[in-house]
Amino acid sequence: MPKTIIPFGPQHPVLPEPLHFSLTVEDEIVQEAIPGFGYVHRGLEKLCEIKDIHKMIQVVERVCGICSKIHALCYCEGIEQMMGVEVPPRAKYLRTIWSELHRMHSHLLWLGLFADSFGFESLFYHFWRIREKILDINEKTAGNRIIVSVNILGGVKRDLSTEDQKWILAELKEIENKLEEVKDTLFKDYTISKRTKGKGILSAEEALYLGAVGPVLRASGVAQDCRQLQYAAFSELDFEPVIAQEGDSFARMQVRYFELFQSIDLIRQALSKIPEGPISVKVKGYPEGENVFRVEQPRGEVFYYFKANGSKFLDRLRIRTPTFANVPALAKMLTGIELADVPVVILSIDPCISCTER
Amino acid sequence: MEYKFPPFLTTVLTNLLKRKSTRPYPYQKRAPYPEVRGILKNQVEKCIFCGSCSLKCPANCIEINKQEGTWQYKPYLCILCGNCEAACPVKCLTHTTDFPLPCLEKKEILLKGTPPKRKQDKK
Repeated sequence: MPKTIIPFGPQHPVLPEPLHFSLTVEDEIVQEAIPGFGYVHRGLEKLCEIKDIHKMIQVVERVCGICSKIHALCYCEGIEQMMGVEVPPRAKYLRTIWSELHRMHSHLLWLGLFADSFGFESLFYHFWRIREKILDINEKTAGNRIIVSVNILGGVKRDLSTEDQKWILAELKEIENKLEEVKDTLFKDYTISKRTKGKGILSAEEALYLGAVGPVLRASGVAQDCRQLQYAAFSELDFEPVIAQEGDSFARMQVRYFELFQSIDLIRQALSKIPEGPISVKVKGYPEGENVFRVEQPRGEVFYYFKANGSKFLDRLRIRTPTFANVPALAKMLTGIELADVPVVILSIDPCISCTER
Repeated sequence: MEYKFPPFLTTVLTNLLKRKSTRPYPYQKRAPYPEVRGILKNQVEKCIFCGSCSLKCPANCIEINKQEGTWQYKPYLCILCGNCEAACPVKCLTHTTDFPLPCLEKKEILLKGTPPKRKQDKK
């Protein structure tokens, strides 16, 4: 059978964002997958030369629409570390709560899109209906629904009142019940297991060798989570990384589904331990030197490199997002599978393309 | 190996009997939360035209002329971050709870007030 090259993307019904793959296909089996990027590059890193360090928070929030809070958290903690600013403990807890809420709504969005990728439309809307509750929590507590814009250098802008905390706990209880309802569907449905089990297998050795991060790595059985680096208030919260052993698309779904419960648990722990006190400190002066900061995003590890010269502008800001690290692993997963499974396997790494191209 | 009866069917059937989870939007609106950051409003009679808001704005959507006492705001550039509200020394800037609606043309808001007199002018 002669080899055929089939272009996949940049416009494809399952892809929320433009990503291109050149698939070399022989007998409907993919032999080679070559990724192509560059459709949504915005040049956000370069903006650090004309926006001062305080205004850059709003710029890094727009690197990724879905995990905007976590980008801002990484940026702020990195700059604060360079300047030696001690953030008040209450602000650390508030940052943790909002970042876990962001992880939950990102995972619910992905679970919906993943259900859509194998044609399960009603499950797709069911997940997005649950996600709406988390967006309402964001709207009520932070002011905006997705790009919440609560971080500032030295703390956070908004505080959570006691009534808000009680309301969040009540809403979380309801979200947890609704998630429990779909557990049987996700793990026992015939169509879902047929479309996802054994598709796009990545072993633990391959995942480590290709530098996979986040749920892709944890689904291959490697217990690695950047929250163990104990940034924000994670040093005082008790959690274990969620792992699965199979390394296929089903395992990646399983990891993300159980991480939702882990996030609910972390928010409950944070709300029970949150100390009283101020929510921000005044930051004076400008950073100098170099620094690297890593945090865990819903999609995996995000890496920030800062170079500052003591002026109000940064010299260089480098952002490496989790999808960029997961693309080599994705190219490996795509080889040897059927052409019909390609959309499901691509969606299983939770690709965020505008994040990757910044 | 798997369920013969699709497990999602019970959810689908109960959803059929329940009321809709969406609202008929333009006719029925949810009351906004009081903490929401919507369109920016300036009480121009209180404004001292100091320029803090325009200096802190990451989207450069506010322009101030201190001599003439004008405050110009471009709602289509505003990203509703709330930095100007936090920076205002006289608290004349507030975000209302109405969110900006889509529009066909770029409208700018120009407010005119009286700038405070400088010390040397008073003498």
